[in-house]
This record gives sequence, structure tokens and C-alpha cells, in this order.
Amino acid sequence: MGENSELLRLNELCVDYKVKDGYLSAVRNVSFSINRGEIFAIVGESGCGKSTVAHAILKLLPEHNEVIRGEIWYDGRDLNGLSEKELEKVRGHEIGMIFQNPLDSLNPVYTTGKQVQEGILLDNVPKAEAWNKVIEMYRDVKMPDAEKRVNSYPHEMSGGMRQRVMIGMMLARNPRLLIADEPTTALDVTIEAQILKLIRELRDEHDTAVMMITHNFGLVSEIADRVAVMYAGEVVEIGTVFDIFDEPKHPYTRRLMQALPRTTKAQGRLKTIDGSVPRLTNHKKGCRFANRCAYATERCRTEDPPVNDVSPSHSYRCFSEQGVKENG
Amino acid sequence: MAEAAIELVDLKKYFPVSNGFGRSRSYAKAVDGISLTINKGEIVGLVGESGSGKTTLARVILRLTDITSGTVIFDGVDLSKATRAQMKEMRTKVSVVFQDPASNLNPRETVLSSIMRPLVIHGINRKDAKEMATKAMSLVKMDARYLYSYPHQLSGGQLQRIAIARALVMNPKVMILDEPTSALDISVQAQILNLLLDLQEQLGLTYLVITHDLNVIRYISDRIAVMYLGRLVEFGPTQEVLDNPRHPYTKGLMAASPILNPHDRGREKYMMEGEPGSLIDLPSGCHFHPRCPYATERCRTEAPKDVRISELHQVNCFLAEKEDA
Repeated sequence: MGENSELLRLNELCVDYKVKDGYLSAVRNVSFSINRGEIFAIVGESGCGKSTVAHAILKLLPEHNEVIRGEIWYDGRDLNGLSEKELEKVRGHEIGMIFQNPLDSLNPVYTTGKQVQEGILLDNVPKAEAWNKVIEMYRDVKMPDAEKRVNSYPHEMSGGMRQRVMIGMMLARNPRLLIADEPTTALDVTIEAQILKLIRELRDEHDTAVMMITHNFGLVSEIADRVAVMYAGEVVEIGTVFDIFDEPKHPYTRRLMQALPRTTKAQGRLKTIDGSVPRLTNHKKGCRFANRCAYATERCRTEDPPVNDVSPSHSYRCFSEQGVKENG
Repeated sequence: MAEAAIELVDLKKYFPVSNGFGRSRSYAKAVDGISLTINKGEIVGLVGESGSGKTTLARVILRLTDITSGTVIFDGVDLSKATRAQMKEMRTKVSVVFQDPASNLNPRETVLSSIMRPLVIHGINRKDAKEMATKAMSLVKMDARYLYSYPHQLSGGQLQRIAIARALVMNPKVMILDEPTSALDISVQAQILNLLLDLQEQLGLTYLVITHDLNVIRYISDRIAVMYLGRLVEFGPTQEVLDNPRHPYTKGLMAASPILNPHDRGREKYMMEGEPGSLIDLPSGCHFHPRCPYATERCRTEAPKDVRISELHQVNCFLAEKEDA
């Protein structure tokens, strides 16, 4: 993929939340890019800032409570510099977003079809045509009985169907980037497999890029092309899904890979990561993983580690230049 | 032959469903004729989609809810014929850890008082109870100073350790763990799974682990029990079931379960269509037949019986019957 297929690029994105005693640095110096038609996963444990990154792109964070610095280049524009009015044209139309629990995102007193139509009408499409598009969308997302289901209320649908409605709602406006924040966490594995298949097909057919926010490594290994691993507000490692699973370089990524239950108990206990995430006040320097890292030196605690490139696709943030080889 | 810790024989639990006029006409058959034996010192993993009756089965074993019919034999005692004293003793021998530790510890009580509560209820004096609580804390590898903490001061992993300590304090023989790690992050999940395995070896416990995460089940359990719409469709040794699932539903569930190796993503997958039905409006015959690619006329009309394909492996499917004959 060449330079011109780049759709979204974050440059040194920082998000600080205002708290009682100053600022909490929820996201620090996050940089990555997503290409057209690519499935890009941001993976990390709770509180690592992965959702904050997604919400910051569309400025969906609680107002007056946060400071966003850095650049969010989307299709030649810096979204961070746009006014609220200009952003409204980007949201939904250019970048669609689906959330974890579709029931929270759907209005219980309107039929789902009406809610999907509402989005289409924003693009000045005549009503009847919009309604036909709704039915078409329901077919596109493989909704059983599409013609009947457009008249169903959210409570009449199963969790899998509701998530299909949400995906249909986003796709109806042909966004070029779909941000999916834990799209299958509330679903059973069999339904999850169906939704993942659907997302993959949509990418193949419409060349939509997908930014997948998740804590589930199973999902990542199933569907992602490239992966960014986040820890305590920073991207610690970024690479293709094979780079991350086969040759993780950052000590945190390595430990996470060893903590995944991929073996049986007869093969020995899982590795764990001792300690806990430090409090993220923004004036602290140094590697944020230092207090839990077996290889940490004095330098790790006082200086910010550099980003090392392993290959054009693979980089990690650590002082160790060769990457960590031994198991800690 | 291994000794049985829990034996279920044709266990049924039906919940009446009101038709809106006060008279109940139908039932939600959450547990519909389950027979299985869990041996002493064994870890059995129970999997199934939501609404398959997994948690109801656990609640029935714990006697948190009454049995509609069938028997639960615990440590040789038939609980339906047990005396009050026997019941009370049984309650100390089976304990439970629920999914979300934050919501089942009292937010207004210290950890100590939460752990001591079952001891006090069973008539142990406070001084001994405190000592036992301290011991339970060391079993779950937590510092005794946390005894004086309140739940909101602790992390998810710490809370789950405390829930486990509370379950251990009565010296149970059997522990039922309902989604013990699904609310936790991967690194914490690994800690809790390791802790559970250490405790099981150290104390010779028997576990029934309920989860929807097949990777967790593969790691922790000796045998896997698969439920579908109130029935046990397959029950057998973990590796055997994973390598060679015999029931079509188990096959579908295995295929749908996320892989943890991206190199596996190219392989051919058997994708199960449709969604699990409802426990209220159950299909006739085999509950799985509407989604089963191998369903025959017989499956629509007749419920299959459990077929034993080896000493520890049973399958509820006509296909297994044929292959076996």
C-alpha cells in the first residue's frame, strides 16, 4: 500500500483530563496511521486509554473536561482544528462509530428502521428512497427477514440483530472509516463470529477501513491486519498482527502474550504481570511500564524511552534496542 | 473408579411463565433432564451460550432454587431426602464465586466482616472466625491489612481474590465458579486462574467452572460439559472434546470461539447459522435440530439419549449412536 492510501493519521495525540489536583494524562503521544480498507486494532487492558483515543478522534469526550493536543489528520484535514459544525459533517458521514452495547445506542420508542432512516435523511435523500435504502441496508448486514425487521423495536430483537442494525446504520451513509468500540463484547461467541464475518465482508466489498477497539486478543488474532498495543495511555508497540503475536518486542506485549490462556494446565502456569498501572499525572517522565518491568533500569524511570523500528511495519517504545528476548 | 463429588440424575428445573392472566400455561425449561457426575478432585468446565441454563444449573446444585424433578446427590447424600442438619452441613461443603466481585461484596462492610459472615452464621465465635478469615486471606495470597479495607478501595483482581477467600473460609469440598474471570483483564485473569489451580491442588478441591470462554476452559479444566437450551449435549475429557467434538453444536461452538493465533485464521470454519432459540418455546425432539446441518426427521420428533462413547465421555446425539454401533 502506497503513501496515498493513508486515510487517518494521528500525530502525537495527547488527551489530558482535568481532575481535582491537576491533569491526568489519559493518552500521551499516540501516533499511528490507518490505510483505506484496513482493519486496525487498538488493544489494551481497561483504563489504557484505547477508548479515549477513539472518542478524541470524533471529539466525543465529555466537554470542558479535557485537553486534546496533537494532530488528527483525516483525508487532508486536521480534525482537531475543526469547529463543531464542521465536525458534524464528518461524524457518521465520513467516520461512523459503533459501541459496545447496541441497546444503549438505540432509542427504545422508535422502530429500528426509523432510526436507520434518520441518518440517511441527513444526506437530503427523499423519504421513500431513504426507506428503500434502509431495507437494502438490512439485507446488506444479513438481517433475517429484512422487510419485516425494519419495523421491529429494539426490544424485539436479539443482541446480535441489534448490533447488525447499528452496523447498518453506520454503513447507510457510506463512511470510509468505521470505529468499532468493543463491538462484540456483549455477544455470545457464535454471534460474535457472525458479526466479525460481516465486518470482514463489508471491508472487502466497500473498502471501508475499520478501527477496532478491544481488550480481546482472540478478536485481534481473528480479524486485525495491524495492531497497536496500548499501556497506560501510550502505544507501546505497533505492527502487523503477525509481528505482535509472533515476535512481540516490548516487555509488556511479551508478558501479555504469555498471560493468554493458549495452553493447558499440564503445560505449566500462565505468566502474570505483577504490580499495577501507575497514576498518570502528566508531568512525570520515564517509561510508564517501568514499575512492572523486569528489565527496568534507572534510565527507564527518568527518561522517556524512544521508539525503535524493527521493520517498516513494526516498532516499539523501549530503551532496549534489540527488544526483549528472554522470558522475564 | 473415581469417587463422585456431585451426581445429577435427570435433573429438571422449570420456571412457570405467566400468560398475563395470572394462570401459567407454559414453562421455561432452564434445566431439562441433565445427568452428569463430577468426580472428586476434578475441574469441570461448563460452557454454553447465554440462556442455555448454565447458571440455573449452578443455582440448582447450590439449592439456591428448588428442583422441579430429579436428584442431586452430594457426597453420597441425596439432597431431596436430606434432613435439615444434613442440608446445613452441605451448605458449608459447596461454595460459590460469582462473576462480578464488586457487586457481591457489601460496599458498606469491611472485607473482614464479609469473609467472617458465613462463619458467624454457622455459629463460630468471632475470635476464631477472625483467625480463619486471616488464614483464608493468606490462601489467596493477600496481605492481612486488606481485611480492614472496603470494596471500593480495591481493584477488580483483589476483589475477586477476596470473593475466593470468602468462598474458601468454610473449608468447602466443592467450589462453583460462575464466570470467575470474565470481568477481569488478561494479566489479572492469568493471576486468578493460576491461583485457582494452586488452591485446587493444595486443598484437593473439586471445581465446576462456568464460562463462555473456551480458551479459559481449555487451560483450566479436566472435562468439558457443553449445554444447549437446558440440555447437556456433550460431556467429556477436555482434550478429547476439543480435538474431536462429537456433537454438531460443540463443533460449531469450537469453530466460533476466537483463536489466539493469527496463523489459524485461514482455516476452514463451520459457521453455525441462526441464533439459539428460547427456553420457553423449545423445539421438539432434539433442541438443536433447527440449527443442525445433519438433522434428520428423527431429530425433529424424538429427543436423543446420552450416548456413552468412553468411560468419561457422553454425547446427546443420534449421530454418536450410529458411529458407535
